[in-house]
This record gives sequence, C-alpha cells and structure tokens, in this order.
Amino acid sequence: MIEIKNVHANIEGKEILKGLTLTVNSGEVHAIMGPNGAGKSTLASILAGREEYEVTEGSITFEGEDLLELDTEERAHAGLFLAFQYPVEIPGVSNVNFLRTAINEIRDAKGEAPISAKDFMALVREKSKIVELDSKLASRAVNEGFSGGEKKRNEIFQMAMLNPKLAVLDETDSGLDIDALRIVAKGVNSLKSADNASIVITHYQRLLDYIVPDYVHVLYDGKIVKTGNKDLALELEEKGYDWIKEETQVG
Amino acid sequence: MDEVLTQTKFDILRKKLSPTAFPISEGSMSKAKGLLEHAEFPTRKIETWKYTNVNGLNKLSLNGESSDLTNSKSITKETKKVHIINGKLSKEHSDFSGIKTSWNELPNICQEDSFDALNLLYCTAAIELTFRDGENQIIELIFENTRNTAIFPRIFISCKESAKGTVILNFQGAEKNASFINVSTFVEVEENAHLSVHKIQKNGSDTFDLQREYVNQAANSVFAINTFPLSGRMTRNDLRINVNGSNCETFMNGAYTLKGKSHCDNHTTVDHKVAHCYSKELYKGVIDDRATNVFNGKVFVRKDAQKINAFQSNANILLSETGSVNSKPELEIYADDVKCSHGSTTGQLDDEAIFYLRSRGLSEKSAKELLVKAFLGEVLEEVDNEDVRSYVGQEIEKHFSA
Amino acid sequence: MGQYTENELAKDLENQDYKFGFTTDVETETIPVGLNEDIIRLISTKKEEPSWLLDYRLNAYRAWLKMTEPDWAHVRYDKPDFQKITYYAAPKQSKKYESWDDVDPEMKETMAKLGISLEEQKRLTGVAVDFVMDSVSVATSFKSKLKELGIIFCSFSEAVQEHPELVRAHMGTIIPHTDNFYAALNSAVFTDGSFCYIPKGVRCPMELSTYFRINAGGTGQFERTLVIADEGSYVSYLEGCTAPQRDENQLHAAVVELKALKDAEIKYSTVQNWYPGDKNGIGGVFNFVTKRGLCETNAKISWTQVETGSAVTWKYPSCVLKGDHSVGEFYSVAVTNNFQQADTGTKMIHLGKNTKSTIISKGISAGDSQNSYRGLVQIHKNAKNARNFSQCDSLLMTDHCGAHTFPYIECKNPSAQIEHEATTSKIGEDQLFYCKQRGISEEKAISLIVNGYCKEVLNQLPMEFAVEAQKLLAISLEGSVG
Repeated sequence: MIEIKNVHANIEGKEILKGLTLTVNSGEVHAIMGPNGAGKSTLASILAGREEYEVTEGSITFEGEDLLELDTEERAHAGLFLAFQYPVEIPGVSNVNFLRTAINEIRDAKGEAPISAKDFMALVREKSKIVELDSKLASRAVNEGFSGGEKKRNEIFQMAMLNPKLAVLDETDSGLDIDALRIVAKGVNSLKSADNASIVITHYQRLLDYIVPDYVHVLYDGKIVKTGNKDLALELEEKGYDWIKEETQVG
Repeated sequence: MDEVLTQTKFDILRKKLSPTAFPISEGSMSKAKGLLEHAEFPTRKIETWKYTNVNGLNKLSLNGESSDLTNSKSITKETKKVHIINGKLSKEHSDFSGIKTSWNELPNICQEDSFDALNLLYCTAAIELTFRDGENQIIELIFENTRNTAIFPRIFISCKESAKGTVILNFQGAEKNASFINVSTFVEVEENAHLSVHKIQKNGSDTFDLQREYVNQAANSVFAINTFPLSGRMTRNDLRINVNGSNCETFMNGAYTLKGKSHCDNHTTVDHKVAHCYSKELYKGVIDDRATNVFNGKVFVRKDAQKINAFQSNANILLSETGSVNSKPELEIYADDVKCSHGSTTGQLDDEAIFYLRSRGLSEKSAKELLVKAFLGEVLEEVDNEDVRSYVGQEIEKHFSA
Repeated sequence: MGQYTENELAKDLENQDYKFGFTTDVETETIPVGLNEDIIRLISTKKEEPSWLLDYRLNAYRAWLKMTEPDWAHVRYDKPDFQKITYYAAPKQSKKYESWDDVDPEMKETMAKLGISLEEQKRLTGVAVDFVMDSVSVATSFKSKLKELGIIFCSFSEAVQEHPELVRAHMGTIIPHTDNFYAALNSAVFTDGSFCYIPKGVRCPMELSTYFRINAGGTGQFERTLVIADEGSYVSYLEGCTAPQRDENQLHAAVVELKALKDAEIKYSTVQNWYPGDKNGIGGVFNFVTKRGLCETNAKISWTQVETGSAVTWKYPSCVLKGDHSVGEFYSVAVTNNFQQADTGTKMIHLGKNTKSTIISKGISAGDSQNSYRGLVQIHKNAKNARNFSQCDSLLMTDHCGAHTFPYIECKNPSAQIEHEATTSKIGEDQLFYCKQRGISEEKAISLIVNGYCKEVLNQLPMEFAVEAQKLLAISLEGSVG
C-alpha cells in the first residue's frame, strides 16, 4: 500500500529524518515507537504533506503513485488520513458541515456525485456510535471547546466517516485517560479491514494493548533501528529506550 | 476667517516668549518659523486634538509669580542628577560630567510639529545624555518649576550600541504653578542597547505641559518608557516610537490619577517597520471630579513587518458623574503574519469587591483606595526602578488620602 | 436627571460633526447632467412633490453648498465631480402597474438574474419585495396583505403622495439635512426609496425586503429609506444591493432613518455587493451612506450588514439610544478584496439610562485592499448604567492588504461599563492544513473558515439572506490567498 524508501527530511534546515524505510501492506497495522525527538511526528507530517517539511532524498509510493508529487488534499482524495496529534479548532464551522464538505470534495475528485443529505445523516449516526460520540458534538464547531478526549474521538469519528485506505494516527493516545483510550482503540479496531492499513505513532506501549500491531518499529535518530512484533513494544516499556540508543551507537 | 483667527493664537503665544539663546542653524530657524506660520493652532477639528483644547495656553502669564516648592525634589538616591530650575540649567545643583550642555549649534529640526518648532525657537535648556557600553548609568533630570514661566527644554538621549541606561525625567511644580512646559525629547536606542525612561509629571495645578518624545530603535534593542502624569491643569504627551530594526522589544506604560479640572491626554504611536518585534502597551488611570482623560494609542505594522506581536490595553475607572473618558486604541496593520490585539475598558470599581472589603471591616473610603491602588498596581509592577516605583506609589497614596 | 428631550437630541446631533455585471435595456428617462437649484426643482416637479418637500430639498442643497467633503476616513479616492452626475433616471413607464403581471418582462428577467425573482420569492419565502431600479420603485407586492394589518410598505415617493403627514413628521428628524456632506446631498436630490410604517402593537408577519440596484451609467443612486415602528411593534427589514459592471465610479449616497418608538423593535439587515471595481481597481461604486436609528424607551434596533461590494465604502449604521432601557446592536461582516477600500463601523450613542449596546465586527481583507473598522461608543452624562461590549476582529488573507481598527470611546458617566476588544490575525495555516488533509481544497477551506469566522454575524441574518451572504463571501474571496 505504501512504500517509504530512504526518506530524508528537513525542517528549517535541520535534518530530522535520515533515511527512513518502511513498507506497509493492506490489512496491516504498524506501530511506530521511539523517544522524543526521534522524528515520529515528522513522519506523520511529511506523509500528509505539511509544507514546512522538505523531503530532500528518498521516495514515497502510495498505491502506486508518487505521494510526494501530490498536494495535501490530493493525498486525502487518494485515501490517506492523518489523525492529528493536536486537532485544530475551526470556530463557527460545524463538524457536520466540515465533514460533508470533505466527503463531497473527495467524491468529486473521484468523479462521484455528492452524497445526499439523507445518506450523509445516516452515515453520521452510524459512525458516531463507533466512537461513542455524543451526537451534539457532531453539530458543534470543529473541535471548538472540545476536551482533549473529545478531540481525539472526533479524529477517529472523521476517520470513520472518510473511510481512508491508510490511516496515520499521530500520538492519538497522548493525553487520553483509560476510558477514552479504550473508546478510541475500539473505533480504530472496528474500522480495520483487509483493504486498509494503519500506521500508529505512539510514545506509550499501553495503546498497543488495545490496538494490536502486526509490526512494531523503533524510530531513533531519524531511522528505523529495530523492527519486531508486539513483544518488542513490551520490551521497550520495560527497559525504556536507552538500550536501543546504546545498541544503535554500538552498531 | 478661521485661518486669521488661529494664526493669531500662535502669534499671541510667541509674543510672550523670549527667543532662545541657543544657536540654531538658519535652515532650522526658517523651517521652524515656516511651520508656525502655516500650522493651524490645534482645534477640535484636527483629529489628533479632537478631545484636547489648548486655548488656555494663551491665558497664561509667562513672567509671573514665584512660589516655593515644598515637596522633595529628587526622587532617586545615588544617581547622577541634573537640575533645571524654571527651565534653565542650574550649575550649582548639577553634575554635568559627561553631559553635553553647551552647543555650537543645536541639531536641525526634523519633525513637522508646530509645538516642536516652538520648542526650538524658544528653547530654554538643551541637554544631551549619552550612555555607553559598560557604564550602566542612571541619570535623573529634575525640573523644578517655581515661577510661572515658559519651560522649553530640548533633550537628546543617545543610548549607544550594547549600552544600558536609565533616564528619569522628573517634573516637579509648585502647588499653584501656572507654567507652560513644552518639551521635545529625542531618543536614539542603538543596536542591542537597553534604555528605560521614567517620566513623572507632577505639575502645578495650573500648568500646561505639552511633551513629545521621538524615539528610534535599532535592531535587538529594548526600550521602555513609563509615564506618570500625576497633576497639572493640562498634560499632553505625544510618544512616537519608530522600531527600525528587527528583534526589538518596546514597552509603554502609563498610570494617571486625575482630579479637579485636570485634563490628561496620552497619544502614543509605535511604528513597526520591520519584522520580528514585540511591543506591549498598558495605560491605566483613575478619573475623578471634573477631570478628563484622553488616550489614543496607535499601533502601526508596515507592509513587510511580519511576525509582529503587538498588544495594547487601556483601562479607566471613572469615579465621578462629571468626569469623562475618551479612549481610542487604534490598530493600523498592513502585514498579514501578525498577532495584534488591543482592549479598552471603562468602568467603575466593583461594588461586590467594595462590599466584600467592607464586610471585613474596611471603611468605604479605604476599600475604594485599596481597589484603586490594586488597579494601578499592575502598571507599577512594570517599573524596574525601585525609587521610581516607590515614589509613584506614595504619590498615588497621597492623591487618595488628600 | 430627567428624560432626554427632543431639543437636547437635536442639539447633540447638530454638534456631531461581480457577478451581476449586466445592463438592462429598459428605456430610461433622465434629466440633464449636473446639479443646481433648477435640477432640484425639476426632480421635485417630476415627482409631483408638495412644496414643503421642495423647500426641504432646497434647504439641504444650500447647506450642502457650504459643506466640504469629509476626508477623515481611511480611504483614498478621486472625489466625484458632482456636476457630472445625472441626478434622476427613471425607467420610462407611462403607466403604473396594476399587478405583478404587468411588469416589463425584461425587468423581470433582470430580477431573475439577480437571483431574487419576485415570483420565486413570493412562492417560497413570503418576502414582500419593493424593487428599486434606478431610483424609482417599480413593483411592490404583498401590499394588500400588509394593508390588512395597517402596515404601510411602499416607495418613498408613494408615501410622499399618500402619507405626507407621516413622512413630514419623521423625515430628517434622525438624520438632519445638515448632518454631513453626503446626507445633505441626498436630502437635496434623493429620487426614491422605501417607506415603512408598522402600527402600534403589530408584529410584521414577513420580512420586508428592498433591492437596490444601479443600472443606468453615470447616474447616482440617492435612496432614502424611512422605517417607523410604532409602539410595541416589530419589523424585520432586508435590504440587498447589486450594481452592474461599469467602468466609471458610480456614486451611491443613501440615507436610512429608523425610528423605534416605545417597546418597538427594528431589525435591519443589509447585504451589499455593489460592483467593487475590477481586479486593477478600475471602476466600482462609491458607497457613502448615512444610516441611523433612534430608540425610544425599551426599544431595540439591530443592524446587521454583510458588505462585500463597492470600490469605496463609508458607512456607519448607528443607534441613538435615547429612551431608557433601549438596546442597540451592530453586527457586521466587511470583506474587501483587490483594491477595495472600506471604512465602516457604527456609532452607539447612549443617552438614556440602562441602555445597552453590542458591536460585533468582522473584517476580512484580501488582495491589496484596505479594511477599517471605525466605531464610536459615546456614553452621555445621563446614561446611567449604560453597557457596551465591542468585539472587532480582523482577518488578513494576504501580505499586501491592510486591516485597521479605530474605535472611539467617550464616557461621561461613572456607572457605565464599556469593553472593547480587537484582534488582528492571519488566516490560520493550521486550519487550512487540517481542512486540506481532510480532502478539502484551499478555496473551499478558506470559504469554510471565513464563514465560520463570520458566523456570529451571519446568524443574525434571516435564513434565506444568510445563504446568499455565504455565497457572496465565497465569491468575493475567490483566488484571494496570497
């Protein structure tokens, strides 16, 4: 589904990613872990196409297309979704209006007709249940005055509505209490299928108790330095990142 | 018709003044005269004088009586002091080392302001203060006004590269003094320099005090000015700061306590010409009796001055039925990547808070005093000079216990 | 401290200093170019006016001659040559319409292009529309239905003929003919406009609506609107404006007077998209309008405006809160793009006790435009416990536009509470990125964000107007990100 090859990326002239390589296939869940400053959020940003980040080397192929050639919204049209670490507030724009615009723009890009109001509302009702989102939140302005947990649930709700091929979850678990975490994870799990995939970026192992990854990668100093299964995450939880750092330096 | 009438107002004023003894270049002389001949005497029709009427200037008799100054004159300890008595430098009471007081020629006039022109032509004292790197000087200029006269100082302050300096402009007038104070202050803050100016205007009850500060800031500099109009018939301050270099910080604070028939007008302009600068302005005051306060704060952000953060706030407490408050905080912004805000509030003391304090045993008067002091305290907290802070604090205290 | 009297008020007033670019080929009847007393007499004669009105016009004209054009607003433009304007252009119609069906089909088509087909509106919304094309009102609908309730809603000229006592009693009482340069000009040469009277205790059951439009080239549009809400009544009045594309600058100097008597409420909404000039700042309408409302005891006037058009706008819908407990509101969205200049805001004059005012202003600047908020909050001596809250936000879309805020706050009563807040910021990069990540194009994202930013104001508009206003915002900001 996505093939990231030897990617180097800068922000304001500072190199953050230093040759990152990762392949994700349909039906897979990949977890990316790593200490602060390793480049986790940079990865999310370059996948979504944030302009401040410059990819200086390497390639990213998404569903056979050169992802780096696409504008942010074209990537979304192609089925890439980023759940933001810090979801943005858009005062005065209701969630429903926002999502309907997004869905119709995506449909339009695919040459499909706009969704009918009836179908749309049915979809909202169906999907808001997945994340146990109060239907009132759907009519409130995007993320405005939402609690941290509500914002994160809203991200997953949007993901459910847009039904992406590849979802990138950027520290979706940070700041969540255990109940909210459970709900978010349940949402993500219920959206999982053989046709889609997700990259779960996290700092903490506990999310992976709920979203079981097929692969766990350790990102350190701009590169993936270790890959394993769920057990690697447990090991990290137990020992911290220092042993990785030492191992990398020795290697 | 109007023109003839307003022309004569400057003329009447000029007849009462003695031409300056300081040498002025011919160019400056003719420019200044030209300015006065063509300028309209301020009337309410002129936007910048909309709320301030200076017609009373012409009623002053400028070679009038003297009376003694009773309160303490200097407010700082252990600093270099320069005394200007009734507008003239006083050699006996001053330490002039390193301060320029004699001139071959005054710097040329560079502003288009009729009162600055007036200041030049009738200048009574010209002083240049220079701060150099490593000295960290504090200089207090004490203006003692005991006679009803014209006090027209022209002050040049230069804070050299990486220097740090503090200037205290301390205006002290005898209680009933009826002078015309007209000051032009020119400030250059060079690269990486830090300059603080504290201005105290404790004028006699019939004094007109019109002051202008023209400030230029170079890159990486910090300039702070604290203005305290404490008394006087009419006080008008025009503060114009050009921020010419990037990464500058500019602080403007003011606190005023007005009563009787006094009129106070603070016009400030901070002109952000380049990117990456910060400015913060806080003016607060309490207006009682028949007093009037005017605040006009202007923040300019020029076309290419991106990443400017500018904050401006004016808060007033109006205590009497007969006082009035005019507040005009303005933003004029031509760049897009900026964060600017301003706020203005006018109100009275919080009845709930007064009630609360009274329920704890305070009299109504002391409850009000306490709240007013707390209200103005926010401005005092911004003052980094201990002597100035405590002096102004005491004056505020006196103001309310009188 | 007694009640504020009419005399005091009079004294106080004295002391205060495209999308629709097509031309309709309806034959228009015009009078010679230029302005003098004869032209004014001619206008008055053509309109078969009573002599008191001619006198009013001439007085205004004489006052105007002594006035100078104001230049304190933050706008730059070439002053109009008042001798090059045609002051009267009436669609040439020999007979008056008996019914809607009699209206010239071409004119109906014009209205259809404007998106306000009367038929559609009649059917769908029940809006009564008084359509003003080039100075003369050509069609008024729903009149009979309104008549049953005693509501008078007609063209200004008709009101002069049929209700002269009402017009004479109220006209010029809120905006005296000497108020300002353009109000004086309007008072001298106004050709038509709307008149509305809501009787005591009547709640007008539908939104009253007028569409203004400048059609003939070189004609100034001098509208005059007078709305009187008698005691305890309510009316919501909509005004929409469009002007076809023309190269030269056209002048629009309207006067709108509102009077809300005891316990009455007037809601006045405007959507203005006069021709703003082209991308290079050529042409466009000069919109110099004086709008003011007077509130008696416990009355309320609420101005809502969405301003996207005109090359130069100079407009301050105001409330004189004369009666105790009266309320004034001002909700505004002003969008400027390309070389447009807007200097707009409001005046809230608090005279009565316990008066309240709210100002919400949202400015959006794009292109090379200049957008200024100018507002006055004035608390007079007797206005005990007056309250004002003002919020003025500016949004900048490019790095070569300007956004300015000039609030004037004048307080003479110690029990007043006045709060003014203003912010200026750039359209949020984070917000744009978030929208784009969800698949929304930049243009759409901007329109979404801007509409959200203006929501507090748009919410004040009647439903069908709000939709139109949102579309207008999107059209005005097309291609505006810099």
